Order: sequence, then structure tokens, then C-alpha cells
Amino acid sequence: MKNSLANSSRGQLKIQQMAFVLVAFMILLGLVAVFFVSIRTSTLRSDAGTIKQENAQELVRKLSGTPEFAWTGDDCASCVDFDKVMALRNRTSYQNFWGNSISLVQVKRIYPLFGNEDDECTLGNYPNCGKVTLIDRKKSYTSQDAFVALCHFEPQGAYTKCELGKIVLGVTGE
Amino acid sequence: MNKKGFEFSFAWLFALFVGVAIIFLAIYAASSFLKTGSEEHTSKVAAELGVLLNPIGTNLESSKRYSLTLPEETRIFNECVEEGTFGLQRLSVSTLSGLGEAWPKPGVPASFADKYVFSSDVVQGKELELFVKPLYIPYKVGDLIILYASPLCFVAPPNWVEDEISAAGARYVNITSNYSDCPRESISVCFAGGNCNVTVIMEDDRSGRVMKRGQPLFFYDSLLYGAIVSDKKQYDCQVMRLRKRAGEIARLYLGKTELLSAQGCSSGLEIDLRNYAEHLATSTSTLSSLIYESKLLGENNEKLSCKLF
Repeated sequence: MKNSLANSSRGQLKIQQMAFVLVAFMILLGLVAVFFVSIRTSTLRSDAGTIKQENAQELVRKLSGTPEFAWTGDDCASCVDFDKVMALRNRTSYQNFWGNSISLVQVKRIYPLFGNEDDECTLGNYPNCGKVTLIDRKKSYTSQDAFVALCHFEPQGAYTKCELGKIVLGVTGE
Repeated sequence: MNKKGFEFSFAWLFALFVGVAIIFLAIYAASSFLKTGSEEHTSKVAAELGVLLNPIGTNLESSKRYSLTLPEETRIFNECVEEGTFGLQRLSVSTLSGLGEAWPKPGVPASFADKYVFSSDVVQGKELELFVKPLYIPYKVGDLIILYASPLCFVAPPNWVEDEISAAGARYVNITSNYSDCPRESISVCFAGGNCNVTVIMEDDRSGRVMKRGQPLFFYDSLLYGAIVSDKKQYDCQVMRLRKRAGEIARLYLGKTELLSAQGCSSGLEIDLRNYAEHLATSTSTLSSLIYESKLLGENNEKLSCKLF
């Protein structure tokens, strides 16, 4: 009887030992999996960020040629129609047109400046103003910009006037 | 009685059971990681494809040609979504796999509102050809990206088509005067009747219809190339998206003319632009009536001292 009880408790001890080893093994596996997944996620996030940046770089270079920005009065590859940009200012339909990762689209005048460069253009001060903000999602961003010629029709004298400006794109994400 | 048999104790049974469970979990995890890895790779390729499509837009050029060489045999799934202000162009990718399914499910699609890719629903190849043409109705609306993997053979095309193809240097587009001269593996396109895969019926100098599998695809100008390579559903969807964008641009020009009017240079095109924008968005307006309207708008713009476009 005594012998049988000793055998049974040794058996239970073995089962307990095995259960602990198994639990430890599973915890180790879990830790390895968490480590692996976190590395994969950070790589994926950085890849996605790189693709977003590359996309913004290419987009900002080509934006002056898109129908919404391009000056079509003369053959000018990097001329932006400032009048059209002013009309684009209030179009809510364009908020997601260039993608969700674009959190800022601004057209800035570089030279000549009339007063403060941060003067937002309105119908009252146009064309003697500093910038037109088309999209601003108020998020942190990395900016990409491209220099362009800002052209508009000058009614006094009826001619086209082109000045130095730049398009600024802000990209959210790494 | 022989009692020398193998004792299959509880410990053995437990180890066997747990071992099988661990091996099963390991195999499942490995195959899941492989599947996720492949999906991640194809999603990345689709996003990179979108980045590649950015610089190919035209600026002052009348057309552009590109060859896209992919590292492995790839299927590009072209999906057009009509809903929304501008609709969406979705591109997803699946690459030939040596493990499991030969063509795994495509990855997450890359979506663009400003791109118009005309092709069949699935384009397969390692080397793909891109031919980019801008569309003007009467102002520039966007760039049509014509994507094809199979060679095309144009039989007796009109002069303007021949000129555009040779000016762009489009590869894998043969121009012949006889259907019999077309390479066997090419998609033949007859412009003057014949027994081709695709027949083009010109109704005007630059417009007409492309007949594919008995269905007409109405085109104007550079939409011809889109109609040749696309399926009807895909083509109609892309045309509608282009119409929506043309409508939004018409509203921009309306804003511009109002701005210029306030500065003393009125165009008098306000009503025409407003009507044109409305007609573009109405699906019942035919392409030919819109082209007529766009030509009138273009002519009126030419007469202005401060041109809108």
C-alpha cells in the first residue's frame, strides 16, 4: 500500500515537472514570436514610410504639370497657374485627391515678397500675398518641395506675370 | 506469460501528444508567415508601382513610352472604382510563386484618384509596356496610361494614329497595311474593316467606336488606345472617372474666370462652364455631345484676351 502511494506521488511530480517545462517552453515561444512580430512591424512601418516619402518626392516634382495646377497659356513645364490655385483653395472635393498620407499642400511665393511670406492669400489681398494653403490636416509631417514659376494674369496692362514660388507637400508617417 | 512488452507510460503519451501539437503549430506558423510575407511583398510591389507611375505623367510632351521590367513573372490586377468624387484606380499584384499555389491571392491594392490605367482586368508578364497620352477636352484632364503585355498590330490606321505611335516610339505595336502581315501572337486591330480581334470604326476625324466581342466602345482622340486594350466595363468606368475630373476642372476654371472678372477681365464663359460641368457628371450625356460642347468651349476660349486654358 505504502509502495503504491510513493509510486503515485512520484508520477504526479513527473507530470507537474512536464507541465512546468511545457509552460516555460510556450512562454519562450511566445516571447520569440513577440520579438519577431515587433521587428517585422517596425520594418514594415519603415518600408511604408519610405514608399510614402518616395511617392511625395515624385508627386511634388510632377504636381506643377497636373491639370489642376498647370499654366496652360504658354508652353512652360514648371509654371503654375496662381489664379487656378486660388480657385482650388475652396474645393473640398480635392481633400483626398493626392492620397491620405498627404497632410499639407501649399503654394508659396518666394520672390518678390509682398510683406510677410506667411500671409495667407484671400480674395481681398490676392495676388499680393505669401501663400495659398490647399490642404492642412494639422498633423506632423515631413515636407517635400519643388520650385516653380507662379504665373497669373495681370489685368493692369493685360499681360501674364510669372514669379518665383514653390509647392510644398507634407507627408505624414515615418 | 511474456511480459517483455514496451511500456507505453503516461509520460510517453503526453510527450507524443504535446510533440504533435507543437509540430503542427510550428508548421501552421511557418506557412502563415510565408503567406503573410508573400502578401506583404505583393502589396509593397503594388505601392511601388504607384510611385513608378508618378513620373510618367506628361507635362508638355504629347506622349511618353515606358518599359516596365519586373523581377519575376507578375500579374497586375487592374480595378476601376466609379464611386466617389473622382473614382479610384486600384492596382494589386500577384507574383509567380515556387511554393504552394502558383499564383497566390493578390496583395493589398494600391489606390489612386489621379491615375487612369487602361488595360485588360489582368495583365501578366515580366516585361510590360506603358504608353502615356494626355486627354484634352478641351483642356487637359489627365494622362491615360495604356498598359499592355501582348504585342498589338494596327492594320491600316489613319495618319494621326500612325504619327502618334511612331512619335512615342511605342514598342510592340506593329503597323501594317494587311491583316496577314500581323504576327500570330499579336492582338490585331483593323481600322478599315477585316477579320481582326478588334475593329475600329471612325465616325469623325478623331472619334468613333471600337468594336470588341460585338460591343461598341465609343472613343475620342487618345481614348482610342484605351478602348483597344481595355475590357468594356473597365473602359466605361475609366471614361466616367475622367468625366468626373473634367467636371471638377471645369469648376476650377469657373472659379478662375470669376476671379479674373473681379479684376476686370470677364470671359463670359461662366454659363457654358457651369453647363459643361453638369453635363460631364450626368451619365446620360453621350460622349459625342460632350465632345461637341468641349469643342465650342475651346473655340470660345481662343477668342478671349485673357484665356482661361
